[in-house]
Amino acid sequence: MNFKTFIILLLLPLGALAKQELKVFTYGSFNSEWGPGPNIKKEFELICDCDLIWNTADSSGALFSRVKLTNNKEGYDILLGLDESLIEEAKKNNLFVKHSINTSNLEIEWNDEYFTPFDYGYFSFIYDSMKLKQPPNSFKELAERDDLSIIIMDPRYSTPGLGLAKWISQIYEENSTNFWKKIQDQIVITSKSWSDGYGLFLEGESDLVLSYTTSPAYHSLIEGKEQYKSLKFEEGHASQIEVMGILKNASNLDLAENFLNFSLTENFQKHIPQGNWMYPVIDLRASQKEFYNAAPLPVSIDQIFPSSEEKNRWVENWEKSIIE
Amino acid sequence: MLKVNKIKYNYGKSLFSFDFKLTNSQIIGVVGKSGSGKSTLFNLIAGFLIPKSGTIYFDNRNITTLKPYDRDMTIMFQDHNNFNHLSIFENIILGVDSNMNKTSNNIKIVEDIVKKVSLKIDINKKVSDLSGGEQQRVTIARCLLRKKPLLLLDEPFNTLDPGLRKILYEDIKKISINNKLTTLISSHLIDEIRNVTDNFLFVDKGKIIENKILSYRQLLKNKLFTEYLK
Amino acid sequence: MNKFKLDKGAYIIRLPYFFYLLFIFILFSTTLYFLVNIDSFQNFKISFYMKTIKFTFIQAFLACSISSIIGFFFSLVLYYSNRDQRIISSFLNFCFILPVIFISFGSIYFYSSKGILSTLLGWLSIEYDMKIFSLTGIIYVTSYFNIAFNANFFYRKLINIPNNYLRVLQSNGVPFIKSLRLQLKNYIFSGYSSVIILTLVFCIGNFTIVYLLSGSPKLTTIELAIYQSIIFEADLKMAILLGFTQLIIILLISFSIITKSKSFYTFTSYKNSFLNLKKNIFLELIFWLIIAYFSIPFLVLIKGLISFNLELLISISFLKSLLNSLLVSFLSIIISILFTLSSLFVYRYFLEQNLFFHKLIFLSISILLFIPSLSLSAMIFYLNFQINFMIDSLWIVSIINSLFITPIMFIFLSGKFTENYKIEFINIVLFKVSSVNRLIKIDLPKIKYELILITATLFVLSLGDLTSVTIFNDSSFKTVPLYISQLYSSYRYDDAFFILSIFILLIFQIMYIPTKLIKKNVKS
Repeated sequence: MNFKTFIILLLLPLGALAKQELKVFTYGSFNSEWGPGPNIKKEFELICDCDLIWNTADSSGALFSRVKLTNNKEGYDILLGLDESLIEEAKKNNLFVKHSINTSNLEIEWNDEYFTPFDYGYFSFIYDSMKLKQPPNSFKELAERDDLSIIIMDPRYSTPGLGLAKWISQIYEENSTNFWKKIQDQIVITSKSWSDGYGLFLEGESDLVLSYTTSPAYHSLIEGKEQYKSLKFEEGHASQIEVMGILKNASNLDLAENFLNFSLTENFQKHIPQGNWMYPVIDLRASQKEFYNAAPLPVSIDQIFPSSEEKNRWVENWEKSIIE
Repeated sequence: MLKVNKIKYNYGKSLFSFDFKLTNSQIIGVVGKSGSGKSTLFNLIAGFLIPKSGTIYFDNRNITTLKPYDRDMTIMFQDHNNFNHLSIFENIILGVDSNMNKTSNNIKIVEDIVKKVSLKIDINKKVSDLSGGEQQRVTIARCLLRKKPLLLLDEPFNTLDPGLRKILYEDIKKISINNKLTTLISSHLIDEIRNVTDNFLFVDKGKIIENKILSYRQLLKNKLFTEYLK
Repeated sequence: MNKFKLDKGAYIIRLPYFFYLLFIFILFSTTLYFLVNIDSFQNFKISFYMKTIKFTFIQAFLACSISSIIGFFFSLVLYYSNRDQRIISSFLNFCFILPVIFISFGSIYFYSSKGILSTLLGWLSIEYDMKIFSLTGIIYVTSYFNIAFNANFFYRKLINIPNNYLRVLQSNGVPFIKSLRLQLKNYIFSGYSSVIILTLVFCIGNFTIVYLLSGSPKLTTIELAIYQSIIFEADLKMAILLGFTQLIIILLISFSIITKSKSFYTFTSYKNSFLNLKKNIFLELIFWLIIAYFSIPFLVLIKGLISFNLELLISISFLKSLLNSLLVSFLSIIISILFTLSSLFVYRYFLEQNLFFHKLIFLSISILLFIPSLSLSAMIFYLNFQINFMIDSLWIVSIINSLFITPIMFIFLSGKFTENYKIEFINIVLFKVSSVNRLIKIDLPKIKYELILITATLFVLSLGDLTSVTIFNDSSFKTVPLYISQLYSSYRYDDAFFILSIFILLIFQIMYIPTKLIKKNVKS
């Protein structure tokens, strides 16, 4: 082998010689050892005669921006892990192709020609009931309780962070910035990603952390710890729907459609509750009883699909409160 | 009177021991091979080193453990006597006013002393702008300003050329006599010191030969000294 | 003197330097082109832009002044402690080059709400309220390195004061502390300007620390903002604009300091300077407190080694990231050595010919120290995007690392390399030594020890680096620091601390190699 070919070999991504491949781009925790990724890969490879390759970005916030930045020149087939607030922007950038999957029989109402949902959840704050004896019952009370410290995620970079901005905007509308200002002193950490922030909460850096109503289920079912609970707000809880879509320059559209189809079957969905710790989009109440018991569905407020302008306004409401 | 009474000092693995006395107002040449202990002797007298045992008296005062600046002496070395980044004025006035304040009084003091050591220069110049001989004169000026009766010169002019050395030794002789100083000059160039004095302390392997001052003629009778001259 | 004719070998030796120049030229011109052609910023928020710049410099000035003052104080205590100077200086040096991620996690482990300090205070029932994820935390960790750096500078200055200076002062009755203010001030502080610039550059460009410890969007430095623009906002324009802003401000500060100063810090050898001291219990106490301060982050090693996890240690993902780390460091070092030797050769050529150009060559290399590594990454990302991602992340990270290593290596080696160049040059001409022979048989043996030392140091620095890899990573390419930070982000603290400990032990091992090599060489 001469030096030149050696260099070229080094430059080539390895594994270019394998069988049919489906490259799915997702956030890190989805494909971590304890996430649903590895199991889903096994199940799908049983039926597709292909290699499912997970590629990951650090957080869900980084996913879409990476594809946008590179125009998907890195050649992913499917992007898994956007949420409904990014859909509009994703369509604008003309990066995805339409699918032909039937989404009418799902737990949630869904009607989008580009994306299919794979799980959903409700935002809430988690607390340790051994330490916090009198949890607040509403946003109003939360803002008044100066003794409480909160960890949230940055609305610009993290989907739960954006979710909170949405939640507050839905409830307080034009008074959102005022509300943000009120709770600003209580916010001790604004983390870049959900897992960063949640970890710091568990390490005792705050009393409350922004997360999902499903988080306590993880502590009770996996760790056997019952002390972690989610706040129940009188105003109701905003929801998040996580979706996936086929990228424009996907190398194998049929295979990608197959995967989307597969994602709405029980073989995919059964790994969601106790893998991604969200509610599945098909009815699995019978088989996932303990999960639903540990994480009952909260009072919900309306699901909205924002335009980019609306989304920017949510973030601006928050930004105004920290710039002073 | 300087009395060095049976002092012992460990230098690495070897033991130095000195024992001698001198009367005041005389010039003594301290000679010997390099490494024989000349500098150690000076450092002990100056107080930079503390002997293991023994005592040092100056004018009947026990100075063995005193700090260098509490002793009635000034010292001058072969190099690094002056702070190159400071001015001539600052380097000289340092001897009496460590704050180096530029008062008119201080300026006058420095100007006077500079004349005494035959320097004709602007005292605001940096020392690093001076020649080697001029730099040593600045040091001498500072030593004089201190007005201490004991003057230790540790190989003072070795880096200078022979003509200049001769002139400076002459200066030192004049200054010592005029100011009634007890001056110890160490050097390994014995011939030059012979022009200044005929009183010698010969140091060999950490000891003073015969523990007293000897003249050049007396020294020549000593085998070790004749070997050293070779 | 006659102009010396260049042989063929000389051109080959000069080649890497010209490649380097070409590369820098392409980078700068594309960036300029890019900047000139920016028509609109989608999400440009002037308030955030100004805030970021303001915060970057506030935290840098704070950290910089704190490190200078404390570093000076530490150096005095270390000097007074009258201990083996080599050990003290190496210790400070060692603290300075420790991976940032190690000190950050070490400090988190000690100071966080469930950390050692809070537990200790809890036993004494004292309430603990320090927040490590805050400006205090950022400045604390930033200062750790710069205190070590500054203390080392002052310490080396102090121990190199000529003996006679101290004797003259003592015999004239000037106390040492007073003389520091009056007679020795200029001596101690000569060359300090270059140290303060470097400290400032380190403080401004401390991406990793802010990345790990910033608990609020208010605490965003330019480097972090660049990272966020690329990763979250897909906004290369903003990234490059921010990088340019930082470069220009650092250059302005540096020039204003450099033009006022006369001398530069050079690496000096050890002399035993003279100090007549008695042991003082109070000083001893402070001495051990300083050692304790520098040792605090090492407590995480205990935690890490207790959480031993064999499965993780032999897991493919860890081994792969370890292999990548070693490969990246190895490649960057090789590239840097090529660049450095080649540019030193050109540099000396101009010195020999008495041409002004040698200053330009020095500048062309050292300018890299001032460019924020993440905006450099952004530029390279853009270039790579233009050629359809032809170049692998591994190579890109190696190249970026090597671009930061090269100036350090160049500055470190330049003194020794050009030592006695005039006499050498006469002999070279006289005996007709070819350029290649000169490099291999005369220059390399001359700088051998320095090269071994700096190579090991920079290898360690590159191994612990967590900047460009945060942008150029994917599932198949990670380095150990990134692996650790990802473990940490996914709340696997025990595993993160364990891998961190293993990583540090590996680094100890690597730093031990050169001392052994040099000893062996001295013996033979």
